[in-house]
Amino acid sequence: MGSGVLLQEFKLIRVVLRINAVSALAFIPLFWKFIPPANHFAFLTILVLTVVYSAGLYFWLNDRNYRVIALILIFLLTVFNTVGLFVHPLSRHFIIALLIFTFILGINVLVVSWPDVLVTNILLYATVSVIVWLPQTGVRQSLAGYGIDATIAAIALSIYFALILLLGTGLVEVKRKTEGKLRELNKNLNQRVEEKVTEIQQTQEQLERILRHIPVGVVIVDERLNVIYTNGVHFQFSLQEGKAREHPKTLLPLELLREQFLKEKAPRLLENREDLVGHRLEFIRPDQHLLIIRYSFVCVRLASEKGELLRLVLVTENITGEETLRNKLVRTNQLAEMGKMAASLVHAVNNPLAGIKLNLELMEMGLLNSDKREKIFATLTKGVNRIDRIIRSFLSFARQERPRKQWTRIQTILRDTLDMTANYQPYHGIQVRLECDQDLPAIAVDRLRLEQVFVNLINNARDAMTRGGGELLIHCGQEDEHLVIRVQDSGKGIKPEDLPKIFTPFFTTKERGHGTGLGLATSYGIIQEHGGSLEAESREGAGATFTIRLPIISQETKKGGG
Amino acid sequence: MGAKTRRILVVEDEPAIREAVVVFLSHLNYRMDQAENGIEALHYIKSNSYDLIILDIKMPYINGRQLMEILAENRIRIPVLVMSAVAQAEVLFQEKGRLEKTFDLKTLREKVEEILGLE
Repeated sequence: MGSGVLLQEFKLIRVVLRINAVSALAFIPLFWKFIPPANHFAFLTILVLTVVYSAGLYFWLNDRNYRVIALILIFLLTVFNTVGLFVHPLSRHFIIALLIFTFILGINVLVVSWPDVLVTNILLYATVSVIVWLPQTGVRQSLAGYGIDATIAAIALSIYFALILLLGTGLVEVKRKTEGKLRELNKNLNQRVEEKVTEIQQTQEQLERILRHIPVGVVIVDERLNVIYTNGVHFQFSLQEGKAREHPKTLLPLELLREQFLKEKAPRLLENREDLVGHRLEFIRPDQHLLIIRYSFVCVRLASEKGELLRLVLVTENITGEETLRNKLVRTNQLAEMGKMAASLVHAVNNPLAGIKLNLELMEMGLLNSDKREKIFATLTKGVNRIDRIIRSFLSFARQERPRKQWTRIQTILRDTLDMTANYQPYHGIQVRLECDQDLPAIAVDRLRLEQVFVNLINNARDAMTRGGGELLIHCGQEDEHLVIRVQDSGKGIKPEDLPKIFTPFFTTKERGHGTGLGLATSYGIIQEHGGSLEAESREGAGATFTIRLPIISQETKKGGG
Repeated sequence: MGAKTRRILVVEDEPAIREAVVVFLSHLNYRMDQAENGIEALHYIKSNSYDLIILDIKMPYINGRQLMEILAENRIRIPVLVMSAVAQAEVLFQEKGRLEKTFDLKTLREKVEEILGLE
């Protein structure tokens, strides 16, 4: 027994013990005057011992040692009582009090029902029965005064005690069985809990091992920005002790991430519960090599007992190799493009050059008479000019100067360009319309280059509408975060097979001498430099539309960004 | 030279080249005609018979290649001397020789004589 005793059993025992003590104390005033003075000492002793026994058990129920002591006390009480009663004849009132007392003890035993208590109680009850039955005790005479036969009383008491003891033992058995079952259940439960815990631990370990072996840094922070998990990979970055290119004062990537992002960006992300995906950071390592890291923040909401928990997961990835490869590819591509362009340049220059060469030879041979000579000179000058023009536009195409941007209104540029082209060559038979939406924001562009683009597009549109005039419509408006300019003509359109090639350098469908094949290629490059896009749509015979999209950047952002 | 009656058509949209070729070959006593583009060339070919066509490939409207296809379809078998700006791998119908731009007058003369079977 002992530690296996259930809490509820304790509660019940304590109630009984309280009744025990209270009833024992209540006996004193009730029965004092009925008890012969010779038996007062015995009476008091019994009551005091009962109170002490009950109180002791009440407070030290869990203590096995105390229970042993209490049992010894009970045993002593019984012996002392018996001896005392042998010595002095007792009054009948005292006998009744004793019977009530034993009755309470009996209930006590029924409820407490420890096997060790039972043994003591058998002795106690046997003694009581013997006291009643023995002629020497005087109980017999007292009972006879009430008309009760002592033998019958002793047998009745014995049966009562036996019943109580049997019931008590039965209860003990039931309790033991229940406890056993409970213990079994408990054990099973514990085992299952343990299994589950092991399983969860294993899964967690596996996950952690996986996280530690992927080449991606994972850091998890809570709402207060405390780092609650890290898979250690970002330390590999920090070991390289690079300096951030954009934030040269910060030493390590990890510190940088802590300082710049956990403190600056994370609170905002947590508050707005948004993600931040695919940003890149560049570091210069001590060996002057570049280290490029891509990082993402992901906000994760977790349900818990205390309500919703927010976790911010920071994922960092070393993409230096990837970027280097991409740059190499871009460079290779650029070289290939340059090669193609060089070939195209030779092709474009060859024709006028061939003409010049042949005519110079003719002159050298004296085969040109004076009247032809003038005409030939004019032709040659034209040829030289053409070569000059081609090479110039090639250079401006190949030159990778940064555009000189200034805040301008697109309407102004378009109007000026239209005036300029009209002055240069009047629009015979062509209707020109410029439509711009109200309240378009100013944009930062290289005005001269953008004019160049519009001149190219307008000239192309004019060239496409040579036969019988047509309509040139220029429309500008805002779509989302872009300024959109459409240059639309009603000319002959572009052949489907030509459409993919129109932005290729030196591709031209114009008659020889009329186009360098660089206008659209240059325009494309200029729009790209501005972070925009240039697209063409056309159906053969139904005109063409060129669409320019330029990103709108607010002036504040522009200033803030330097 | 012995080439008095040979008649040659030059098809080329670059006037400087076309005229130089015409002046030079006229000087060598060939009978010369000149066309600016494929359409004009077809008119000439329809109404005259030629011993040789000197043809540029890249031209507006009907280019050199298309012109040669039209000739082949109509069973007009005139030898062609191709002038091209870049080296083309493909040998075209009836192509008897090729002049790569930029060429000189000496080469032109040699090629023409070679095709016409002259010394």
